[in-house]
Amino acid sequence: MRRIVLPGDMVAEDRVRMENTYFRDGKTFASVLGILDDERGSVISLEGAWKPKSGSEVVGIIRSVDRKTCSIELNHSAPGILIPDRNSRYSPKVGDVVESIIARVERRNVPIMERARPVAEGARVIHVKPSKIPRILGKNNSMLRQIEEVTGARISVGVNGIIAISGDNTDDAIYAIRLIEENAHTSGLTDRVRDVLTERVSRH
Amino acid sequence: MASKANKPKLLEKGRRRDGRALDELRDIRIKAGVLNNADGSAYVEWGNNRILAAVYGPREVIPKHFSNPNGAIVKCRYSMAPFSSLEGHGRSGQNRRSIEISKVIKDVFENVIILGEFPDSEIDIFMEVLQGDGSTRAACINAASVALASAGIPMRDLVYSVSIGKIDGEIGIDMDMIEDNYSDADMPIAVSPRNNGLLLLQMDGDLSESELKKGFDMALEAGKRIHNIQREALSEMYKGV
Repeated sequence: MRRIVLPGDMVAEDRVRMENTYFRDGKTFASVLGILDDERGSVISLEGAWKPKSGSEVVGIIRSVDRKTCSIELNHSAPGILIPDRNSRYSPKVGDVVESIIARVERRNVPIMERARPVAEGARVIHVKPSKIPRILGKNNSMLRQIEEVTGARISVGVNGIIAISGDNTDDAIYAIRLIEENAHTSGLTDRVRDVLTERVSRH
Repeated sequence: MASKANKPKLLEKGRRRDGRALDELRDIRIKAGVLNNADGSAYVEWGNNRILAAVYGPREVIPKHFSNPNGAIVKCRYSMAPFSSLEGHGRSGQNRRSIEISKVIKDVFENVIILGEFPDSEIDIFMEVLQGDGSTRAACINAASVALASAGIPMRDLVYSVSIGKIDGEIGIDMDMIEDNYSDADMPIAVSPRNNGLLLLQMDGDLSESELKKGFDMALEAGKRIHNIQREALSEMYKGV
């Protein structure tokens, strides 16, 4: 059974450790607007900000470059800090859109980045709600692969909610992403997106 | 201005000027997620009150020295639009009254938002009274509460707020502007419905202990209805789950 829970709703009569909940008086309460999945025993947040975790693949925009470090805007309260690899051929410039991985999260919530590489030049950058990213990726990236296959676009999805799109039919790819974002909470999305996209692409 | 000399009759045969019973709320309509640019938002119509609330964050603290490494800080701005009321509230921007209301609303939400999850960041709550007709701070808290939930900010509870008042010697709830201006007492409260914890209590005028209790009982009963309207507004955003 899946049902919508709101902050303060009781989700378990005893203490059950799960995300987006808190304990009070030996009981578990939801702390966000989300969906409670009884079988999996989890509260999935429907909205909300992105929190950096080590190992996350993100997309960011380089905001400043110093002698040794550069800072990357990541849709977070603190910019990510990147220490460019000396052996890497890529030297960051302000304004570059890069794919990168969070190596670790420092004190005061500052993400330390590694392995930055630029996305294709002229890529279009859009912001989506970070809570909708799992749906845009799909199971084992199936949704993302489908969009790339049908449109021929090259899409870099950052779990922080920044997406860079390059290649062919970028308009259609963005349309598909917006469609998923608006309907993220409904089921049967993959098929619907395929139909809509095939129709749009065949019109060109 | 309100004075004893021109005080209208507020109660007639147990009914108020607009025909409500003493424990009856005005019509409330809430819509969540009305603004695209904000992380969370809500629009509230509460009788003749029209409130728009927007929430941003957690985001970078500006200025930076306000940031707290132990948790997020909350910033709150209550403001009345220049065209919002007959009394010229809001015509000269922020004033003593709106700064005070911003402060007490901030205190309400600091106690329900789980601040520790977002060190060194800030959460902004903006409330704009487009049309005011009494009990605007209560209506603003209800709007901000829905806006915060729709922004996905972790909270311990969905707060509601309602005002208690004493008109023509009788205790009632949800005062409109005329009732407020000529009331013997006016007391807005904000409540956390999970355990009926009190988050805001301000009072103008005098109430006896028994009147206070009677007012609380009425407010908590009416609060169930407000809470349900808030829930429906948020569920409406995700129809078809």
